[in-house]
Amino acid sequence: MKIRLLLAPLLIVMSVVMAIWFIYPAYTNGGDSLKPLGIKEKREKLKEEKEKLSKIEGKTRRMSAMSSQLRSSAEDQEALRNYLPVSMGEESLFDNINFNASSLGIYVAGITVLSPRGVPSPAVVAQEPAVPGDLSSSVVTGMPAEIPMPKEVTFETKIVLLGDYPKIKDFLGKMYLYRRANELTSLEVKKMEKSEASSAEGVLQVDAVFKMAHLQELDKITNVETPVFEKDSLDKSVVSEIRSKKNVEVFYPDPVPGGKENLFAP
Amino acid sequence: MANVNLSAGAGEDFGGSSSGGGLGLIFLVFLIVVGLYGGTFFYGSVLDKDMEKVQNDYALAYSNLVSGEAKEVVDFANRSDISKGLLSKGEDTSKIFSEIERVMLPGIYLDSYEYKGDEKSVSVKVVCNNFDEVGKQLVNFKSSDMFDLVRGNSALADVAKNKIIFSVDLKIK
Repeated sequence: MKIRLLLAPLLIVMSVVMAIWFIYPAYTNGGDSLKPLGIKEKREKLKEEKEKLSKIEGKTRRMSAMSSQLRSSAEDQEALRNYLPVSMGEESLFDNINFNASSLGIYVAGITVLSPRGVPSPAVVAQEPAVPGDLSSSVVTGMPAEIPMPKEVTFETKIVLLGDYPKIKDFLGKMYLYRRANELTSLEVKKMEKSEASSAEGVLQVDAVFKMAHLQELDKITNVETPVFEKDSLDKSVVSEIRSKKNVEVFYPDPVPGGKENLFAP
Repeated sequence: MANVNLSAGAGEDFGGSSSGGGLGLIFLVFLIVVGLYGGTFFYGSVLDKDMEKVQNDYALAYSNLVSGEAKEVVDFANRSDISKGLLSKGEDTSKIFSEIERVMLPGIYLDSYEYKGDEKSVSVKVVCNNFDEVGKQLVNFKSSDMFDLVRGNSALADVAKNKIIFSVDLKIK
C-alpha cells in the first residue's frame, strides 16, 4: 500500500527529470557550441552537408563536360598557348621577328628581350576536405573565397630595324597580326644619315618596343571555389577571335645537334 | 434494511481499482518517456552514420574533382580571360601610317615619327616648303577622323635646306 502510494509521484518525478535533464538535451544543445550537438542540430548539419555534397557533385559533372570539350579540341588549347604562352619563349621571338623582317627585306640591327615585370603568382592555400565523423566542428577553416589564379607576366622586346618605309610599314602591320599577344608601346622612325651604315637614300631607322606577356601554368587545384565550375561549357570565343584577327603564325625553333671543340674559334 | 450490505470489503474494492488505473496511466507515461529517451539515442546514431557517409562521399568527390583534369580546364579558362583583355589592346600602327599618307600634302614629307602607346599619341616632324603648307597640312590633320586632338607646335625654318620643319602632336581616338 505504502509502495503504491509512493510509486505514482516517484514515476512522475522520474518522468519529469528524464524529460528535462536527458531528453531535452539530447534533442537540442540550445545553440551552445560547448555542448554536444543534439538531434535538432545534427539534422540541420546533415542537411547542410547534403547540400554541399550536391553542389560538389554538380561541379564534378560540369567539370567532366568541360574536360571532354577540351580533349576534343586540343588545337584550341594549342592556339591559346601560342597566343599567351606558358613561358617567355624568347627563342621564338628572336626567330620569328627576324624571319618576319628578313622576309620583307628589312635589316634587323638588334633584338633585345628584357626581363619580365609582373605580378608574381599568389600563394596557393590548401583546404582540408571534410573529415568523416567530425560532427561537432566546422569542416573548412581558413580558406580564401576562390582559387587564386596566376596573373600574366609582362616583358618588353626592343627591336632596331633598318629599311625603307613601305617595308617598315608592312613589318609593323605583320607584328600587329602576329598570333602572339603583343602591344606596340613605343615607336621611333627617323631617317638614317648617309654616312652611317647605309648609304642608300630613304633608309629609315626604326626603334620599336613591344610589350609581350606570358602566363605560367596553373600548378594545381587545391580549392573548388571558382566560377569556372559553375559554367556548363568552356568559352572558346577568344580562340576564334585570335584565329580571325591574328593570322601571322608563331613557330618555335627545334633544337639542332651541336658539337664543337674550340668554343672560341668560328 | 435487509438489502443493506454491512460487509467492510465493498468500499475498499471500489477505491483500489481507481487508484490502480491512475497508476497505470502514470506508468505508461513513464514508459513513453523512457522510450523517447531510448529513441533519441537510436535516432542520434542513425544521424551520425548518415553524416559520416555524406562526409565520406564529399571527401571522395572533392578529391576526384581536384585531382582530375580540373587543372587544365581552369587554366584554359584563366588563359582565355586574360587573352580577351590582351586582344583588345594595342593599335595597328600601319593603319596610322595609312591615314597620315591619306591626309599628307604632296611635296612635303616626314622627318621623324614617334608613337607612344600608353598615351595613344603620335608626334611627327613634317618638312614643308613654306608656312602656307604648314597651315594647310595642319588643317588636313584636323580633318582626319582618326585623330581627336591635333596640336601644332613649333615651325622652324631650316635655312640650309630652305625648308620649314614643324612639329605636330596627334592624339588617336
